[in-house]
Amino acid sequence: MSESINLRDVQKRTMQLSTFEDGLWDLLLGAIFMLLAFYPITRELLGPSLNIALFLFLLAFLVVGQLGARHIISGPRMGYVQPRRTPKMRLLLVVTAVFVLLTFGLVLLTFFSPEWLSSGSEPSTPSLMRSYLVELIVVFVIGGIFTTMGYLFGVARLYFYGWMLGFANLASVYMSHTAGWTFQVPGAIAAGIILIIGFMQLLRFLRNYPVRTEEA
Amino acid sequence: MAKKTGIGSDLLGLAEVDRVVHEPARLMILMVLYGVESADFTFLLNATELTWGNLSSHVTKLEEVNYVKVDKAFVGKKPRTMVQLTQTGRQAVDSYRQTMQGAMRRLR
Repeated sequence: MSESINLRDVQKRTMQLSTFEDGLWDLLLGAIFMLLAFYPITRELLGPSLNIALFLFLLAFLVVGQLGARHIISGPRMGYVQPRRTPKMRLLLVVTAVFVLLTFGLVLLTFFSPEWLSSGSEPSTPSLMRSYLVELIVVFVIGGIFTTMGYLFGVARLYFYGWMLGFANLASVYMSHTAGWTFQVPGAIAAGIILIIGFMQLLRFLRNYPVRTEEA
Repeated sequence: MAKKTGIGSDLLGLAEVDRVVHEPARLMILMVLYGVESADFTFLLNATELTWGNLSSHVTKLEEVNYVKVDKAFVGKKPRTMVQLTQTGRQAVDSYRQTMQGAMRRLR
């Protein structure tokens, strides 16, 4: 036997197969960030209250849709797995949930652009860091979360997603301040790239994992 | 009476390795189940790349020695067979890993 058997690698591969192989997770992520890219436009059209309601409704719709798609598309092809509920796993889930909520909070905060966070005018070079402090924090929070997830689950593309989304958010806010772009173009491009990767992953999954008809 | 030393306790320990776990296909199944609460047959087929008949026979063998628990149920109209590692099975995998790691360290 030329290769060693690493139990952690087997567990990572199990996680990859059960969660990331079908591309549906990528499609959900891309769709959520695409929603965020459209968020400022719909806020102008609908107003803040109606917009947040629409956003939450679409978010719930996407999550339920992803779960349904997993049940209909992935389940018969990949099978079903119940993850192990170890204390370490529970802690990981709680930490991930907190950081995801924190990230979404920070991303939404950057779109609202409260006055106490920025000067409100075009930032001069010396105060550039301070003016985009929240966005820079978002870059490192998103990048950090996705890097950690990528490492723990052994999914390399998550590193790319995290840093791309973080910097796309920074670029979106910068363009909004300097060029007056309401539509978050860099954010939409990043979300579009994730959607394309997710779609390709899904096509590959459908080709590689046909529906199994045997059952004991 | 002189103490029997044979070929050495290290190698004798290796000879006592659990042969149910040692079989490569069963080891793969156990390793996959080690990291999850339970998995169905379809997932095990994809994860281990065994054939249906092979997987079925190995799971039956593991069930006979109480290393795994098999639950057959219907979800809607479709049958679903969930396989779960028992506490005995988990201990067997841990013991097997310790035995093999010890043996490999000493094997030069």
